[in-house]
Amino acid sequence: MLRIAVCVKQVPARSEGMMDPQTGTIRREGLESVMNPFDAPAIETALRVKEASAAELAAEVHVFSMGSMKAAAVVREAFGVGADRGYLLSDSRFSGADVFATAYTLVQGIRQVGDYDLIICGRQTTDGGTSQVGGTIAQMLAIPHVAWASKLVDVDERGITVVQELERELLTLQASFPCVISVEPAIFTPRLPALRLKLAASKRPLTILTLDDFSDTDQTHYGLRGSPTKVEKIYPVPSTQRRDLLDLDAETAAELILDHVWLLHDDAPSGMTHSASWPV
Amino acid sequence: MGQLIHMLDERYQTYLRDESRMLGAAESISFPESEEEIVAVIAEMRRNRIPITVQGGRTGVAGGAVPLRGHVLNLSRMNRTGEPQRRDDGTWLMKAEPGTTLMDLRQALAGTRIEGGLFWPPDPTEPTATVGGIVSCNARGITGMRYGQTQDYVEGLRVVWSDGAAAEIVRGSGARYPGCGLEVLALVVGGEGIFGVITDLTLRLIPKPREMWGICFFFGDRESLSTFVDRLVRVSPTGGASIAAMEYLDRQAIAIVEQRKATVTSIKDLPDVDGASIAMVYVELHGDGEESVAKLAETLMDIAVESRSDPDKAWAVSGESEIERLRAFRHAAAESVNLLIEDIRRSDPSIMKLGTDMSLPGLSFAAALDFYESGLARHGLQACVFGHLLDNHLHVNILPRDAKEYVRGRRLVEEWAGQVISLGGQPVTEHGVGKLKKDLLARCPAGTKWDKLRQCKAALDPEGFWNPGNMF
Repeated sequence: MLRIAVCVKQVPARSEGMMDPQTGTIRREGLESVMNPFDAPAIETALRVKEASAAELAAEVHVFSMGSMKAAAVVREAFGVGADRGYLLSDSRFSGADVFATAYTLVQGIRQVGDYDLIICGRQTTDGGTSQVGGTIAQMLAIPHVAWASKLVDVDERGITVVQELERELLTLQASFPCVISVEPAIFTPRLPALRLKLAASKRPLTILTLDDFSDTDQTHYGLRGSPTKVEKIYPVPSTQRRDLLDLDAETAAELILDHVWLLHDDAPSGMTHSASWPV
Repeated sequence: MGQLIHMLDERYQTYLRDESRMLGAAESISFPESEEEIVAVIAEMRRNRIPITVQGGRTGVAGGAVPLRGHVLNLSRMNRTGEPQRRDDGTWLMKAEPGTTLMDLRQALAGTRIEGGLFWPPDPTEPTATVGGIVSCNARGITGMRYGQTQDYVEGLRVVWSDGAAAEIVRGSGARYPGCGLEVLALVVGGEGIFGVITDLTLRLIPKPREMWGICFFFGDRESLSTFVDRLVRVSPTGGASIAAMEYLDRQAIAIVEQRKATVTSIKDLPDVDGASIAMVYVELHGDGEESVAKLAETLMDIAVESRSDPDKAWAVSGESEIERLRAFRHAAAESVNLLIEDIRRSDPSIMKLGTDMSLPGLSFAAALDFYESGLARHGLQACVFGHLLDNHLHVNILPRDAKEYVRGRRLVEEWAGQVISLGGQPVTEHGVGKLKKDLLARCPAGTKWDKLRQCKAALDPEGFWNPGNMF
């Protein structure tokens, strides 16, 4: 059987108004929480892999989430679209984790449940935005990792083939199982929960794993204590408004605009100077 | 005064239109930021006998904000809000200036961090609509069936009349003007600005429901759809949960939305609707908790199964953010039609939006659809249909391909208005009358609220100073 694990996270629904102006930290209490939007395509990818391989091999999709008990909601949301099992890694000793400690906790949880052929992560989270969890999980498990997967090409009992979207090229990569892939949002449009499954989801059992369930119970490996990085401060990007109002004739204005448009492209006509700048 | 009032030149051309695409005319425009400035503008216009058209977000579809002549008083810069104040009955009051958009209001309420959150129920699907405009049209959102009418959520307002005098109007005061058979609040709420200008509102807010679900059901044939809707409208509240909204989109409306889905951020990530579906019914359930809402959802699932609508294909989401996506899809129907009309107008500017706003209580849903479809077939016209299932309050948007079809469409809408009135329905329900639906109003019999409004207009604004061309 093809065993697929998907890592999902619960995040605040909105970013505005989250900042505590006194401490510069994010205030989460009272905010609506949702599944990290980047994780929905990851679950969808898992379900598509399951459906694509159904003729030749059975598959199961298991969802893992690290968070407070409130995060059970995202596991149930995954049930609503067709995930088979859900695991919530919840323990106060996991809190304050950076990317490294988060990945380690997820790895411990995954290992505790069993061996997986394929682990799928979303590209990033909306509240952390590091894009490092997938790669770190792969490193810790010593298995291949393919990031920026934007298209599923093929899957069989040996591995998976995806298109990796880089800045200037697309690579078609084949990775043998077990492996980790981090998917781009455009890989699939996530399905919405089906009514019957959503109604059943609230009654389905999910498994809660704490630190005491892991083989490594050393607290210093988890949470804030297990985090090699610490967030010192979060603050909004200072916005600057620069307004250069130029009074030019039509032809000069058009040329200046065209110069700046070409500067955005590497295939600018030859002889184009790259020294164009707005007059101060 | 020279800085407050501007000549309406090419810089302000956009203020000659609203979402109906009707193009108006005016000589001057102002953007007051206080009641004092409004009073000053009124005085200046009175001195020169120049009528005033009041504007908010210009999101109306009946031409209510489109000036015919004179001065445009645009209130978009009057958008300050106060802090919510709690009342003993658990509701809250909040001051808002008339130019406050729904988006502004939601943000202001989100920023208060009141536990559980507050909302203003008359929330039409257009987020750039202003509270002043909403109240003036008596517009309402999709959740009116659970929460009631717009007037129920206006605790008071401040109006400036044409003599520059301001009046504070409080709900329940019973104040009336001589020669006018309606309470002052009833004149202003739904009065489309034909009596005075609103300068401040006191909105009544209520706590958000603790649990909200949004469900989209899909149907493969008319019988399945009709059976489902006829049973849906009879579903009673269960425990602490009830149906808050029941919305309909036909295949054509769905197709129009999906054509532009890729360019609309709020809906671009929604899955495509199965091509075999002929219609979508969107239902919102609000309640005290997950258990009661889930129980109500199970009832709907049973009805769906009995109606041959597959609950494995029905979309079901919960939580405000997810529900906003489905609401955005529903709202996109209206917006997409407006853009389609805009495209058609490029080849013929005489064509304007031709959407109905009629309610037909007492008919089955199938009979209501037949009513409209037979009219369209008779006149050889195409349309898309979306709207509210309660009272068969459907917005039939005729899609004319040329000026001839537009003229036939206008005749058909007038024909429908007469038939709807004789069937006990309303020819105008939530979009307002504006300038484009006056003919429909003219068919209403004596003694109706429109009649009383006409009498009040004659008594309070005989010179037609306010919003000339609206309603009468």
